[in-house]
Amino acid sequence: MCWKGWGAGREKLHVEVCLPRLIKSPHLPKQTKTDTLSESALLVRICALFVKRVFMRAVSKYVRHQEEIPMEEILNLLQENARLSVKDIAAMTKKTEAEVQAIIDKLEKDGVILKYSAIVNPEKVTQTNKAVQAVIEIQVAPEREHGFDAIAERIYRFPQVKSLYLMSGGYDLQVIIEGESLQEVAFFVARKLSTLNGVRSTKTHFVLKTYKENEIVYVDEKKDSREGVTA
Amino acid sequence: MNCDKNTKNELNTREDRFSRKMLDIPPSGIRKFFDLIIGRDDIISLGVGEPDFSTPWAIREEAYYHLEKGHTSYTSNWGITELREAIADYEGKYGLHYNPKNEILITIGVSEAVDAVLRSILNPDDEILICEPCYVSYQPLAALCNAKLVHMDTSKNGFYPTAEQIEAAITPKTKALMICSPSNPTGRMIPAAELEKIAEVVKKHQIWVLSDEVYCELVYDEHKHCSIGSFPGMKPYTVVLNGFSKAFAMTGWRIGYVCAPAELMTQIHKLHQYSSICAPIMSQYGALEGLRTGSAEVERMRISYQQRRNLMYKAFLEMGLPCAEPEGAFYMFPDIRKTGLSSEEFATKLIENHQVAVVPGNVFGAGGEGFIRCCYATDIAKIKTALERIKAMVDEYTK
Repeated sequence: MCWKGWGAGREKLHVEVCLPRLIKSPHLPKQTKTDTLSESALLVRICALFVKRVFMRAVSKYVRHQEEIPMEEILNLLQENARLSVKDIAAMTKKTEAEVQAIIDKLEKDGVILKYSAIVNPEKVTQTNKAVQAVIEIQVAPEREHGFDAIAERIYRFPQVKSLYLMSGGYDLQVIIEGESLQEVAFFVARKLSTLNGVRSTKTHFVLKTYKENEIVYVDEKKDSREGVTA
Repeated sequence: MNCDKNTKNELNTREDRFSRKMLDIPPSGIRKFFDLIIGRDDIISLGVGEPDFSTPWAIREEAYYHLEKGHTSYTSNWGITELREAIADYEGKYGLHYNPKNEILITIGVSEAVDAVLRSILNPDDEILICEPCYVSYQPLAALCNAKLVHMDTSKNGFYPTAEQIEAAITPKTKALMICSPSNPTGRMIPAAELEKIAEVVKKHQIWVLSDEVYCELVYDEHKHCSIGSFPGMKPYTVVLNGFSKAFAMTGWRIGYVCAPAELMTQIHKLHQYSSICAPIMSQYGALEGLRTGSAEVERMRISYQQRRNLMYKAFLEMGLPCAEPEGAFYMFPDIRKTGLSSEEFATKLIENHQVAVVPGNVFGAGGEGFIRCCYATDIAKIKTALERIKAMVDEYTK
């Protein structure tokens, strides 16, 4: 593969974040059923209440601790520049390196951070195996019990599929596909997508130019042009 | 060339062709320093005192819209009504209550506001107390009014003035006090409790307080901006100067404003209408959009400055340069005296030998000698490289 010169600041790394994992689900003990109590049952109940209180205190302490840690701030920093070192992030957030490392480890372990990847500007690469992109609108017949999920899974498992969304409006699924050529994409749609059971229709739109993707502007912007002034 | 020859022949040689007052005023020390780096691409500048963000898109787009609609006329001398009303609401959140009709005036940046206010209150030989180190235009603008400048060095007190210090400097001729919090060039803020005491001194001696609050949105950690005008009974003595340059990254739009009691505003308004007429109309519509929809963008930029401040502050402490932690703005003012160099020497050698531009502290007035101003509104990678280079220089002179 032959690479052209890179535009300044374009070879950014990218952190993929799993949003649903960020939403905390409350883990509260379930209410127990009330009935007539024997002495031993009462004792058990008192012990259970004590254990519950200790547990709740520990939970609230943990939650407080979690809030003090700038998890969101660290995520934002990494999403902006995944190559920031732990040392720099620690300095920027006024935390110790160990604390920052622990947070990043946890974010990775919990699947909040899925992977670190480079965002490449395709126009700066002379030859690529992902030269053509297409947005495909698909109408499908949902399946009993599975709804749209089963057909969606059959589609997103193809490596050519870059993104897949379930949509409201005039069609059901939006697929973004990458391929080497128009023919390859057209062939994939004709042979693989439109022939799937449940697919009623497809409409393919080829991408002509990418201006902005994942908050990154793909057009060269001017560099720092500030001049010395008396401010 | 003919053109040059003609110019030479036509030179006015009359000795008193310039204003004596203007001849006495030196050029800005910051400007002088930037002349050293013109045309040099190898230099990382921590000198520029402005945001490294472009103006938020919604503001730029709003200005385009008004240009397209042909809104290119003068506005009222006061500025457009909607903007003054929006400013009245905005200042209300800091406990300041001004009538948008006759107590708020839109100016061409805070600089015009400072000039207009000083010229509206100062008589020759009046004394004005200036808390230094401070922004470089206060002193020359006050000097143009033939006022006597009383320089108050705040460096011994963590770079903010105390009520005691101010009261000790007040004489029967004292007309005004100039404060700036958060401060350019130190980033320090006057604590609310101290401001309250200063307010008492101001009321007791019936002087004006000119409060430059242009960095009020850029405050960090647990710090909250507090305006001296918000204390009870302070409105008749307070002039609030503010603008959109810093928080909204609108430096080139030249848009600021002044809030003052109606009686004083009558005088400021006269000066503004004769010298400027009005602030540019596109800038006024842009500023209005900023107040309406820009708070999320301001917060995003504030967090970014805070992170860069933390990074730079830690680095200065690690290289053994004492530094009062900035609580706002985007400047840091480390103490370089342990290198044995003066501020000018340090800054000059830093450019020549290590290709980093900072501003020597002495240009900001009393208490600035022995310090340098570093602006952290620049790219993180550049800040890190600049800090490595500054460390190399500090190590060289402290072996």
